Amino acid sequence: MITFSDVQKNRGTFALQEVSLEIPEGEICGLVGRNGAGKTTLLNLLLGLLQPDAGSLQVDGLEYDGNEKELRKRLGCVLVDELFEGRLTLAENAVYFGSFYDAYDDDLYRERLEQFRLSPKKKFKELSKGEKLKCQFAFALAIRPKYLILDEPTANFDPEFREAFWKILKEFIVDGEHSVLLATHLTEDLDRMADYLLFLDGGELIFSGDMENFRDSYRIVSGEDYLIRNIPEKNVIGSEKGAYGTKALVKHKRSVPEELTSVPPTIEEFMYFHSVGRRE
Amino acid sequence: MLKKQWKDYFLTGRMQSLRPMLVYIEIFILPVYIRLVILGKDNFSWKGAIGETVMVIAFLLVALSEMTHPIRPGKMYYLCPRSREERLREIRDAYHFRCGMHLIVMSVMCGTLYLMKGVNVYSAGYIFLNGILASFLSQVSNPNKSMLLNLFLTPAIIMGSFFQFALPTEKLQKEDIIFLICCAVFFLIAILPAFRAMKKCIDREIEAAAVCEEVQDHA
Repeated sequence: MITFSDVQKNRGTFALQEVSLEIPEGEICGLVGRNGAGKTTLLNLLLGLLQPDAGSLQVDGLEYDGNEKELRKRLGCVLVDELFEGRLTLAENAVYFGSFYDAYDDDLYRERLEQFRLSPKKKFKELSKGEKLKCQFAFALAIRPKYLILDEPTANFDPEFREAFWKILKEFIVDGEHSVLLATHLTEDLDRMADYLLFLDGGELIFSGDMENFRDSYRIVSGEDYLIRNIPEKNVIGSEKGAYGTKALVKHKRSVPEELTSVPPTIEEFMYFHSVGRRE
Repeated sequence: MLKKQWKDYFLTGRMQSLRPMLVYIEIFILPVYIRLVILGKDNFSWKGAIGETVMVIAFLLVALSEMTHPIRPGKMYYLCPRSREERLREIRDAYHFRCGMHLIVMSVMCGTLYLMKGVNVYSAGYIFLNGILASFLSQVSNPNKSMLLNLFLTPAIIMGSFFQFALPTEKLQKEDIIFLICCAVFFLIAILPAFRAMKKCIDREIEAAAVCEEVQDHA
């Protein structure tokens, strides 16, 4: 299990504020938020590329301070940065970086490259952005990590590959011992596939919990404006008045009058209404 | 161990930092080389020209090696399972391996120069001394102090070595001895202190490179 306890991090004008969360095993966890919400900072903290100013984080009870090597063995990652050496071929990169991992499986790496239609003989710098991410994804799988940390790779994948990508993630977690933490803006995929959700806004963790809980806790309601105004203000996260009525994101389905149409929100709606607040 | 170092050396070179070297070649090396080989020497000799070419190649190889192998590894290295102590040891070993390779190149160059009688023994000694210093330089990421030192040191070392060719290979005249003394003084009061400062920068860089850049920034 990945645990953050009151983790704080200041980076210039941005601050990640006392984030406490738990990412359970056997789940695909979506990390969402606007640009600058703190997603990458949170991932960099988890990957040990940043140190928290306060608080602590643990991976299976291990901390970077003292157990860095053991901890890193459990994490495989795909970042937007180009991690591999550009002038080396995909095979050479894997041999070089794979030598640091006890569990690195070259056959699996080559198998994945073939599946992703990438030649191991090709130089890394010659690949397109999406191909580079696929290659890093193949490597992240080949080191057989317990947790996969993925920072917005899906936006660069073609639709065909996205399906394969999700299938691989589902296979990865199927034993109930592995987990995926995926930061993305493509929330439709998360609506379908994620088991767990983290929503950050302005460095603050707004929601952390499983998708069932998320769908139970919030409602998108639409109908006459006066009916929505009757909902206690503390339960309305955001609302928007349109030409034919008002739409709002509200907490607790019990607070919704029966006359209003009420459906569970999508992640995108949740993010949208959270950012707009109340709008006339 | 050495085999692994040799392999890693070629795998981890990064060609994107070649631009400073092209600047060095254009500003410092080529004009001096052209002056000495083609225009400047009244008593042009093929042996001298070959000796100077060997020296140009040696310094260029070392400079190329330094510029393509910065002390700080790429981000991926920091994501690999390594403890801080292991990273420190590996980064230090890689640096020492590079220095060793540079020293071999410089030694071969000085030996060739002297055997070809391209320089006298004093000049060869001076060039070798500069070669030793050049072998220990490396690219560091602190852009301020180290850059200034590098901008001063590398051309000073290379040009100082080139000017030794102006000295006769046979008997030294009075003005040649004065020139040698001036070189020695310049070496002692300018190059050596600058090299010491640069070496401190490099040592600090090696220590700092044991942790990822972002962590270090914060620390």
